[in-house]
Amino acid sequence: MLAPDVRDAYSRSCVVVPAYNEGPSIEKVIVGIHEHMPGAAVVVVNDGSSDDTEARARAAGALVLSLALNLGIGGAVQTGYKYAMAQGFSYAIQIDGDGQHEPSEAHHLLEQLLAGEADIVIGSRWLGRGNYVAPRNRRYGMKFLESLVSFRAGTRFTDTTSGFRALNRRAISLFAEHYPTDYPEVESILLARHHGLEVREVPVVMKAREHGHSSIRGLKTLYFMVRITIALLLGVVGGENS
Amino acid sequence: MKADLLAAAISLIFLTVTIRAIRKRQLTELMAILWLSVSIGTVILSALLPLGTFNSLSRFFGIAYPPAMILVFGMAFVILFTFRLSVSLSRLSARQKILVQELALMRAQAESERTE
Repeated sequence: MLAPDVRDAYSRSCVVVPAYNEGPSIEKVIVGIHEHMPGAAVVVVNDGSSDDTEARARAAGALVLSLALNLGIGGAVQTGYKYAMAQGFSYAIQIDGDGQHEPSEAHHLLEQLLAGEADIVIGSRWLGRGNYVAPRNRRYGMKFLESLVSFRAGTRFTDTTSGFRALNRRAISLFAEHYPTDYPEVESILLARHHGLEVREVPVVMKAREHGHSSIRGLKTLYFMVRITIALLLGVVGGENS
Repeated sequence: MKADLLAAAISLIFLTVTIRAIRKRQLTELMAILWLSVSIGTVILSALLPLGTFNSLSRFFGIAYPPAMILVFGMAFVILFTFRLSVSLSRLSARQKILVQELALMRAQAESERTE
């Protein structure tokens, strides 16, 4: 059973689900959200999918924000935050459309937010709960990022690429205004810290990806690593309003 | 002598292409002025070739081999110009992102008003 304060918070929450060609998994994700996060508004941001993501999300009862052009994960997620900002939601919870994040775990994030010590709470796979295993080469990359970000932010982060997050109003308002475009998870932590926001991690259980591939692979991995390293050294990389 | 004629022909063709593009309004004002001055510049340069002004100019800049002077200034121009293009391209994609997001939000709003 959910605690009364979590229930109340869910009724003032907007669940942001970025989705690019997630037709096979999107319904299950939305059903899970309705079941485990009662009262929360579900907003699917369809990032120019070429499959039936939009129709399936609507059928499952989500509000769909459909982008006319593919903006990439950063632009998609930010659209959800802009919506949450405009509609006056107190909290926003980001859950990937591919079924990797368990809606039943979201209350851990929210509870940490409600404790009032953090503006952003990130669900981490690596804090002891669950038995998520990433392929070895990815693990090295994640380790590398983790140490860089932890060094730069002055706090230890274990899962910098996790897109399972909860934000309070202050964080929503920052990200609605500024959000990195290409591989936003890592940079957004630094951006938030730079603006004086408190970012915390809580342990969560995650599933391995049900279908499709990570958006970061091949040559893109190199681009990703170089970009993040530069971002960490110079502050935030990215254009005006990005 | 043949090389002088070749240079003159190329620069005149470039000038014609620029003028045509401007008349068809394919360039913004700023770009039109920029390319017009570049193409007029090359025409003048190629006219100066047979007079030997070129050699004295490169001597003035301390460049021993006169054709290298063209390369130096040409490269500098190309690098600066592509950089400037990168900047405006980045600005355009940032603006485009905002437009796409606003469009999605307004579409959702219009839809919810219709169903109410």
